Amino acid sequence: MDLPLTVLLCWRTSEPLLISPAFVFRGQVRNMATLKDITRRLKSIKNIQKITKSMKMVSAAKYARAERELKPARVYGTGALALYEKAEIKAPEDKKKHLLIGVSSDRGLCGAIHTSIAKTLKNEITNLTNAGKEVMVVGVGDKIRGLLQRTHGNYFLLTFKEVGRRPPSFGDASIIALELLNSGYEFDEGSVIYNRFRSVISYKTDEKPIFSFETVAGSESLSIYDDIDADVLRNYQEFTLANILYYSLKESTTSEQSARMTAMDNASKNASEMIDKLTLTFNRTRQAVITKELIEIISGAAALD
Amino acid sequence: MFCARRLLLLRAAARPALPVPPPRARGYAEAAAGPTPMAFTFASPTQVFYNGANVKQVDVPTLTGSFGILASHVPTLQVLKPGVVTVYAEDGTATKYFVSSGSVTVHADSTVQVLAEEAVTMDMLDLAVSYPAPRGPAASWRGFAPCPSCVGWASQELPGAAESPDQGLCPHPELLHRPLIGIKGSGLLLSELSAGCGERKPCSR
Repeated sequence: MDLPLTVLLCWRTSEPLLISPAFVFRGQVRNMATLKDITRRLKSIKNIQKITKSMKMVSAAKYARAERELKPARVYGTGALALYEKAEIKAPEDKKKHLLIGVSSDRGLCGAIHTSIAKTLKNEITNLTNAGKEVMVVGVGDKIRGLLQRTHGNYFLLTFKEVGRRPPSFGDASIIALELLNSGYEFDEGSVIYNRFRSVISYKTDEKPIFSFETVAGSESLSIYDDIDADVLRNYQEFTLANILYYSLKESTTSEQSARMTAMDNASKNASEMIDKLTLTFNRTRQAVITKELIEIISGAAALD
Repeated sequence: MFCARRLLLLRAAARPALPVPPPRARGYAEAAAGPTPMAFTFASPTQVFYNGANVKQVDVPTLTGSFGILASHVPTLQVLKPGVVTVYAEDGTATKYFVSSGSVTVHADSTVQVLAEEAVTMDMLDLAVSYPAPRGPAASWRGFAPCPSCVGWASQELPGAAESPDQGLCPHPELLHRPLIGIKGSGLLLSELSAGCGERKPCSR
C-alpha cells in the first residue's frame, strides 16, 4: 500500500518515529517464493490451459453446427418479420403494456454475451418506465435472471431454463410462445432482445418488435390484406411470434458459441503467457537455490581451513 | 324543411351550365405496367426451398380453402392446413411439397412468403411407416391407424373401410385419427395435425 506523500512530509516534521512493520512498503519487500509454490502454480495453470483449450474445441464444433443451421433460420426469420416491415405496423402511442424478451442462455464463460443483453434490458426498462409504460421482462436463459434478479426482480414475468445445452429447435420456440400467450399478461407491443451474429469475432445486440393481436388487427395498414378473419389472424400472429423467437434463439446461440470460442482462445493464450513467465521464474529460482547451497558449502569449507 | 329551402334556392338561381371539356386529341391508353415478378420465399425452420425466387404459380392449402397464387395476387394473410404445396416454376415444371402447418403472406409488391413448420418433398414421405401394413383389400386398409391407448386398431369412417378381423375392441373409438404420415430419416410421425401447433408423437419403430 503506497503511503500518500503528504503523510510522509508530516512525519519528517514530527519527532522521528520508530517505523513499525505496518508502514513498510509491501510492494518492495517480499518473501522469495519457494520452488514448491512455483511448481504448484505452474501445474494448476497448465491444467487450466488444457481445460480452456478443450472448451474452445467444443465451442468451435458447436459454432460450426450453429452457423450451418442459422442460414435457413435467417431466411425463415426475415420471412416472418416481413409483414411487420412491409405493413409498417406501429403500436399507437397511448398503449401502456410493454413486454421485453431477453434471449440468452444458461452458461457463462462466453465474454460479454449476457451482460450486453442485461444492459440493454436495463436501459429499456428505465426508458419505458420513465415514459409511463408498464413493463414486464421475460428471460430466456438462467443468466438473464441472475443478472437482473436483484435490481429488477419485480419486472420478471417468466424465466426459461435449460437453454444453451442443446441447439434450439422450433419446438423450444413454440414452448416459449405458448407460455407467453398463456401467461395472462396482455401486452400491446414488445421487443425481443438478442445477439445478432455478424461474424466469428463480432456480434451485435439487436431488437426486433413483436405486436399483440389487437395491435395488428387495429393497424390501418392491415386493411390492404384481403380476406382475413379474426381466427386466421390470431393463428397467424401466434405462429409469427414462435417464428421470431426461433430466429432470435438461433442467432443468439451462434453468437454465444463464437464468443465462447474467442473467450476460451484468449484464456488459453493468457495461460500460455503465464506459463512462460512462470517457467522463467522457476528456472531463476532453481538456479538461485543451487547457488545458495554452493555458497553455503564453499563458505563452510573455507571456514574449516 | 332545410332541404326544401335549399331546393327552392337552387331553382331560383340560374343553373350554371356544365362546362364543356376542351376537345382532346384521340389517343390510346398506355399499356398497363408489366406485372412485377413474384418473389417467392418458401422455408421451414430447418430448410429453405425457395428464397426470393421467381416462380409462376404456387398452390397452397389454407384453412379457408386451397388457392393458387400468381404474381400480383391481392395481398392476404393465411394459415396453412396440412396438405400439399405445389410450386409451378417459370418453365412449367411442378414441384410438390407436403406441409404440416404454417402461414402464407402475400404482400402488395408481389412478394410471397410461405413459412411451414414442417415441409418435405414428396419423396421424403416414408410410406412403409405412414400406413399400417395392408391387411385386406387396398381400399380398406387405408382406414386403419394404431390407437395410442391400446394395441388395437381404430377404424375410420372411410368409404369402403372394411371390418378387419384384427380390429380388436378399441375402447377409444372417439380417438379416430387420420393416417399417420412418416418422414424418412427424421423418426417423426405426424398425427393429429392441426394448424398452429401440430402434435407429434415420437416414432417408436
